[in-house]
Formats: sequence, structure tokens, C-alpha cells
Amino acid sequence: MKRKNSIDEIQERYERNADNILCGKEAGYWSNLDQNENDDFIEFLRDAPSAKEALIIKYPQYYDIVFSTKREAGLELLELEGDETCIDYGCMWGALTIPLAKRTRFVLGVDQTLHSLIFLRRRIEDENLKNIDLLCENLNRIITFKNKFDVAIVNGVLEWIPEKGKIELKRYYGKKNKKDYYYNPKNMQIAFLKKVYSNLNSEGKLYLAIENRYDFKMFLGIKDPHANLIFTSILPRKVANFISLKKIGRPYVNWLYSFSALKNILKDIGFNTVNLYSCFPDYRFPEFISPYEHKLEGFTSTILARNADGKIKAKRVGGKIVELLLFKYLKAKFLAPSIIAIAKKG
Amino acid sequence: MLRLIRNCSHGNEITTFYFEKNQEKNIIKASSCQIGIEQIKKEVNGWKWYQSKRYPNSKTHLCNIIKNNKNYIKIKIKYIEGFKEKYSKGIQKNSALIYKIIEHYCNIWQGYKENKFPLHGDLSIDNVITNKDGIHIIDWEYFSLDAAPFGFDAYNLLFEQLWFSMKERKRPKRSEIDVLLDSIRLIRSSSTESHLFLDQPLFSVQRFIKTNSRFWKNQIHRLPALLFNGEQIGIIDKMIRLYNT
Repeated sequence: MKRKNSIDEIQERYERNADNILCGKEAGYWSNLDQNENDDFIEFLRDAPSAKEALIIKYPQYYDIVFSTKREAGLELLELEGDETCIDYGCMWGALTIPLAKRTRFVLGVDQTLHSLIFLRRRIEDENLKNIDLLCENLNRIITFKNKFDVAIVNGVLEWIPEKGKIELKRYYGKKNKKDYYYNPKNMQIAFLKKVYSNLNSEGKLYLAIENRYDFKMFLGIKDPHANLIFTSILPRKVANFISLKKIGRPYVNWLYSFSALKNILKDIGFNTVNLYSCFPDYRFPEFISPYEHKLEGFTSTILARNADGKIKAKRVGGKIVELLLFKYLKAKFLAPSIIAIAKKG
Repeated sequence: MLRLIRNCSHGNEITTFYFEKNQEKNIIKASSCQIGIEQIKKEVNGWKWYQSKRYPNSKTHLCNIIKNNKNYIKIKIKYIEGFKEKYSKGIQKNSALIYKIIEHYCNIWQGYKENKFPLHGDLSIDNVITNKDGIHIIDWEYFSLDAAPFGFDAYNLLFEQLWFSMKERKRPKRSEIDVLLDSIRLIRSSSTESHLFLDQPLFSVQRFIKTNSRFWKNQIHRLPALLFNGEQIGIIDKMIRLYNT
């Protein structure tokens, strides 16, 4: 009944396009592929035997990002019962939408990029899943639903919320691209999370995954995964802004948070319980996830000494040693690479 | 408390968590992929068989299905407290443990005929826990009943350990072959069944794996016994024959 109510409400509020995707008022563009690449890919996809084969042929470098089963491990932290209705904000190509639908009653996948949703629609057909609907809408413009969801997914999305305009990642990531922003990124992120909160029922749960602002690799000069600049995540915001303006012509808006700052934000929004998990080597392909309040029992290094060609690399060996030292011996969990938060409303 | 301890290791599609609640400790395994679902079902059957042999008086099931539908499976396995030896130490350093495992294997794998013995499929030092109650074999993801000749899993363990000992070396040391021979004698003395691996054991083990690849599917490459090349197989089988006489 609950599922039927949610579907009815969504269908009343949005129109479906020819690809069976519900369309909101304000779509946008955020993709690893350029718009013209995506146009070609969607054409290719329509005649391909499956979404998987289309991606392998055209963009094998993105295969793991889309299809790796490693990605779904974090969903177990939600301790799902199986009868939940869920909403996946920024679902993109469906890395979590598909596995979530296999575990629950219904999933609404929301993304601003129509191309990504057409690809995901094909994946859903390939998998013969009947319990997913897709909505193309700007996440900052999403409505408040009357029928609330049991589970909300915000996976690698919060840090992109303050961005505006079209983002073709290859042309954008670390590239000079002059832009002005007239708002505080944190306020944007909080406004979005408030909407997520209001769309959850009284016992609802949020799954939020994001990089840790103080990821140990940031101190070693590894570039910020969103702006492609060194030290920007760990420096004071004003300094990071200054560097970003100088280097890439736009302010630093992809704000990340520490464990405690993220917990405070979620608590301030109204979540009653917030359980944090340290995630290694990152939340996308986790090898080790441990409750933040625990002391990383059983930690083993998640950095491979060999690269994809099987060659031992000094930089990787160094990273492995530092990782073991920090987490296995010093238990410096606040420097973990990524955070997963499971926040419960009730 | 839920802690991810293994995620799709060795190319499988299973997520493994350690789960502790109200002082009860469990391992949780889950998958939403067809190969992973099949393997977890095998694990359930494996535990059922092993429990009937190893813990016949236990009243509670060691392995229980929590969720099971067409697209998703999740099981709970009772956590066994104990010690896991490092598999990378190899055959000589792990010899004492290897003898114990072989004895355990010979005790448990009794009561079958011809080539229809149960298959663990991944009997490795890494899948054995030792504690005051003895040996406990875990990770039954490749389990199959009526599948293998007597001794296959034990030989597989031996060649895994020999491979970790030899690493880049072409020939095994005499002392390594001695451990291998002592273990083989243990296996042979424990059963009157005909031994498929009597002559050319490494070659025969490899042949069995290759002709029965359905048990391992895309994870067949993970078996160390397959990593020996033709020259090494010849040398090792010859040394076994030579020093055995």
C-alpha cells in the first residue's frame, strides 16, 4: 500500500517521457562523459544487447564505477528488512539503485542528468526489475513528498550540491572554468539535507557517504578528489577559496567534513541517532568499514603495493606503510579516507 | 556492531561482515549477484554437512538464512573464536598445523565411496580456525556433495602451502617434500578407498580442477595448485615418487 501511494503521488506530480522517465522542471548535467559523448553513447545503447556490454565496448574504464559489486557493501549497514520504500538522490548510473532495489520493496532514483537515467533505465530492463522508478530533477529543486520514504541514499552527492551549471567532468575537474557563487556551500548542503530529512518518515534512515575532509592522503599532497587541487580540503575554507580562485578560476565549494562536523550537521538537522563508520580505501569500493566509535579492530592495509600492471610502486608502498602505521598501530581513525553515516530519524 | 571484513575478495561477489550484538558474534555474508547467491547457497549446504559431521550434538544451526529471494541472499554464520595461521608461511613452517588439518580431514571425510566424497573446494590454511576444541573449517562457498575423490581437498591444501613456500623457486627443497610425503602417508593410511592422486599427485590434482572447473567458475584462477607450471609439476611429482621409495 505504501509503495502504491508513493508511486501514485510521483506519477501525479511528474510527466513521463518516451524513455519512461519522470521529468521535473529543472534538469541539469553532471556526468563523467561530455554531452556529445553521452548522445552518441545513448544511440549506441539503444541497439546494444545490454547496458553492460555497451559500457564495456564504449567506456570500459567506467565499468567498475557502474557495475562493481564492491560498491553495494555499505548498504548492509542499513540493516534492511526488505519492505522499505527508498529514494536514491543523485543515483547516476545506478551503482546503488540496482542493489538497493534487490533488497527492498521500491526505489525512486533521482538524478539531474537525463542521459544517466536513460542508461539506468536500460540496466533496470536488463535486470528485469519492476520496483524502480526514475525521476530527472535538480536535487536542489526536489519537492517535499506527502508519502514519505523509509530510506534515503546520498552517496557521493553532498559535496556536489553547492555546484551549479553544467558539469562535464573531464572538462571541469581541475580545469580553469570561471564561475561565481553567491552563497555559502554549507548552507546549500544543509538546505538539501533538510529536504532529505523531510522526505523521510518518522522511523526513516539516511545513508550518507562522503570523503573525509581530513583523509590522511590529503596531508601527503594527494589532490582533492573534487577540485583536483592539493591541500584544499584540509586548509581553512578562505585559504582554499583563494587557492581555487587562483588556480581554476572559481571558489572552492565542494566542502567536505570531518567525522564530528558531519555528525553535528546531521544532529542539527534533526536526526535522532547518527552512527558513523570509517571507510577504507574509500566509500565507493570499500574493503574495510568499521564503526567510528570502535578502535579499528582487525584493520589490515587496503592499499595495494602493485599497480594495475602488477608492478610494485614506491609511492604505493609508502602509502601502505603510512596507512598501516596510522590505522593499525596508532588507531588515528579521524584520518580515515571516507565516512559513511547511517542517520535515523526516530 | 557491524564491520566489513571482506568485500568481493578473489573476484567473488560476496560481502562479508563481522556482526556483534548482545555478546553474540556472527559472520554475515550477503550478495545480490547470481554467482554470489549460488555460492552462498553452497555455503549454507556446506555448513549443514560439516555441522552434522563435526558438531553432531549441536542443537542450534551454525549457519542460518536471514533473507533469501530471487535477487538477494543474506546469511548468518556463528563466529568461531580462535586463531588463524598465516597461509603465506608455507609448508615447512606450517607443518604441525598441516598434519592436524589432514587428520581432521580424514576423520570428517569418512563414509563415502569411490569418487563421491564431499568437496570443500577451498581448503586453505586461511580457511581453518584452531582453538582448544581443535580444528574448524570455514568458508564453504564451493561446497558440493558427491563431487570429488577422497583426499582432493587435503592435496589442494598441501600444494597451496608448497606453492607459498616455493614462490619464485623452480624446485622444492627436500625438507618441503618430506612434509608433503608425511602428509600424503597420513591421507593414504586413513582410507581404503582407491586414490586418484596416488601417482603424479600434483598433475592429478591440476587435472581434477581443470576437468571440474564448474565448481569454481570464474574464481578457478585463485587456486594455487594451478599456478605451478609444467616443469615444476614434473619436478615435484618426480621428487615425491623418488623420495617415497
